[in-house]
Amino acid sequence: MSLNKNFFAGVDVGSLAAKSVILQDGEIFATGLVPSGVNSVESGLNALNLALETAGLKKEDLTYIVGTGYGRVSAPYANKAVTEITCHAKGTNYLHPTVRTIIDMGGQDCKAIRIDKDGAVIDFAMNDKCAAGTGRFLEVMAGVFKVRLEDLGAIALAATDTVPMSSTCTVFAESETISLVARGEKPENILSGIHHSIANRIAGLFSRVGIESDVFFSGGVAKNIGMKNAIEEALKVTIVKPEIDPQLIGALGAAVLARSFSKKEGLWA
Amino acid sequence: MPNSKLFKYPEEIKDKFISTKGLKFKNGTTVSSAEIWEFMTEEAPRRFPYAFDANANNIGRFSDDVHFLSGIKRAYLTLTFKDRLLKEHAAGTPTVLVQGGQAMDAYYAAGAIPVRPGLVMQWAQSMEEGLNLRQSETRGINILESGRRKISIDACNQISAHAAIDNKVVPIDLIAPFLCLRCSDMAFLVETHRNREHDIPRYMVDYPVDHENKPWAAEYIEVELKELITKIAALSGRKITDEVIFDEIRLENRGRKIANEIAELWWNAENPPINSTDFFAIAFLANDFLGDPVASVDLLEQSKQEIEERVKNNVKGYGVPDDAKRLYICGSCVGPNAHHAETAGAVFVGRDDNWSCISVLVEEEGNPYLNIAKSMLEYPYEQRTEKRAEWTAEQVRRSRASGVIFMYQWGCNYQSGVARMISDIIREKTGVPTTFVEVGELGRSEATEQSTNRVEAFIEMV
Ligand code: SF4
Repeated sequence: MSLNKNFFAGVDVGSLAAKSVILQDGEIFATGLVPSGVNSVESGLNALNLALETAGLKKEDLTYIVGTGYGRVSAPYANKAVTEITCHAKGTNYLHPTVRTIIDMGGQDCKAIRIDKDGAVIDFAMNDKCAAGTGRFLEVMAGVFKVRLEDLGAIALAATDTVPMSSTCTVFAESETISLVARGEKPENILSGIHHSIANRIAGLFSRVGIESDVFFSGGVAKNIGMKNAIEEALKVTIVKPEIDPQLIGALGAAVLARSFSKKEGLWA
Repeated sequence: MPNSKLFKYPEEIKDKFISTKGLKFKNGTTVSSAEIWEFMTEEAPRRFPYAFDANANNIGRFSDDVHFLSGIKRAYLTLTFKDRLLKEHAAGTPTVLVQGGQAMDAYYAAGAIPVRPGLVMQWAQSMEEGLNLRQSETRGINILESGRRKISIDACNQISAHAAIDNKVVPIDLIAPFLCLRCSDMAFLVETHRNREHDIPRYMVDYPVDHENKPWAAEYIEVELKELITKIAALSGRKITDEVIFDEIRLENRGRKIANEIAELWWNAENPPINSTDFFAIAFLANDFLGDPVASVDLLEQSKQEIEERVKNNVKGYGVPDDAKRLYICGSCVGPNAHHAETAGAVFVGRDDNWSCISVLVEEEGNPYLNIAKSMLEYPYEQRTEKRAEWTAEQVRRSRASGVIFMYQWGCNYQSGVARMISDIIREKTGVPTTFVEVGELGRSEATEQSTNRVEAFIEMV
């Protein structure tokens, strides 16, 4: 490995996971993904160290680091902080330049983002009031059914029917679910209802920003096949297949920005 | 906020500051700049340490532009609000709760000090001294939650003001808001103060929300204003003549004119001559008058002179970033944190709520009651939604804004209902990107991530 080239890192500290991506020569060189703890500085550093370890690099080898996600405000290791909306746009554009619409579902919020051909954000909308429609909501539901979070979507795909569910409040949806289970409703049908209710909520966000093809789904929840299918159905679109783990898109975008900021600042030609 | 530092005015500006004019007050006294300096550097930091907290998230933080000397005087007016009101109140001047977005002319003319809910909240917070930012905000939250417990958890944060009055944290002598129903807090206001044990009299000034093409509307408000002024005059003991009211109208018109001239100067300057905090403070002064229209107008005049000087010398206000994104702010009773927005690369160029009242002058001849009524009916913010949006779009153009943020409080039902429509109309008419953000943390410096994240992302997008 040649160390005379520049390395750029993006670190995305979210509410459930911390992610990092290292870029070299415009290529993804290494990645790291760890669960977030209460200490967001530590979580970000853990994710970054994991990527550095995989790459066989030291922190000093990095030319520039951009921090993003809710932990960006406490990222002393980063040269600059940028919101995850901009980073998801840049990361998606880097991998899939034809994408114009992004659905980002993370641990605690969901976003509808419209971008132009250069990956610049032209409009966005976010869920306002509640964790309903986010990764945290699905986590609560996985707890109710005592299944692993990553299995929820696949279980929902086995539904023979879809139970209509409320999408406005995580706590109410949890009690609604418990009462449906008590009434003997099949778990897969309830889970199908939950996924569709979240998809409808997301469709509501797009009523303002609009949809233009191609459409991409980023964030941790994008790994949930049931969610992907429900969104495709609600928005009547086909979602572009991700080239990398969609949970890493924010960190990737941060690394892409690290590259361009450092160039602008004259750190390399 | 564990690492908060206290902000201090630097000694090197002292000589220049104390050589400037002092402030004239409506009781005929003048406070010299040396006295203001003494208060702002010695007494106020001891009594109100929270106001000097340099934390970037401190939403009530004063401007960092210490060379804009009028800004220091404006902070003085804010921090002496409590002392001035308590003194006036003890001397028999009635304090009156006003709400509903209308002008203050009638209240001041009748010899009262009108106080809007935002200032009631600040006043209530300042009644306990020596608090740091966290302690002061905890005090504010406790007052707010007592209101929510008593009245409704669905109320917007302005319920704190009603709770502070109801709990006698601050002395208010009359509750006399305009029943302007585009403020959904009106229902909670009425609910707080109706049938209460407390002895505060009430007079709800009726205001026809749907007044377009209603020729009777001005005369209807005229009658209401006469009743209001009679009620206040009975408390203040002031003898009211048309000339007394016209004197007040002329004074407040002067303040409004100066504020408009400042806006034109600011908008057309190559570099924003003062930062967002100072610029918005000007609008607030001309709209609210901080308990003393004489002092406020005096300060507006001094501010204008300083700004003219800066524009002439192409001086940029301290804190305004280079190539700042110019943001126009819409919505009632809440706005983004100016320090945070400037750090993220933006500057505020105007806001519809405060500027609406300032944009309309009251006629200075004829029937003063009818003139005030007519001006109230002309406020752009009080027109039907499309008309309001068109006026705002025009403001956006004139201020050369590059983005619009419509912010509203959780519990503000009308503003939340029209936010999208207004944002869409502005975007359509001006081509400028818009967004709307609901906030729940009015006046708080901690746990603001959800709203700052949206504002920051919007600034990046613009
Ligand atoms: S936030 Fe809305 S409801 Fe509350 S006082 Fe202001 S205008 Fe009225």
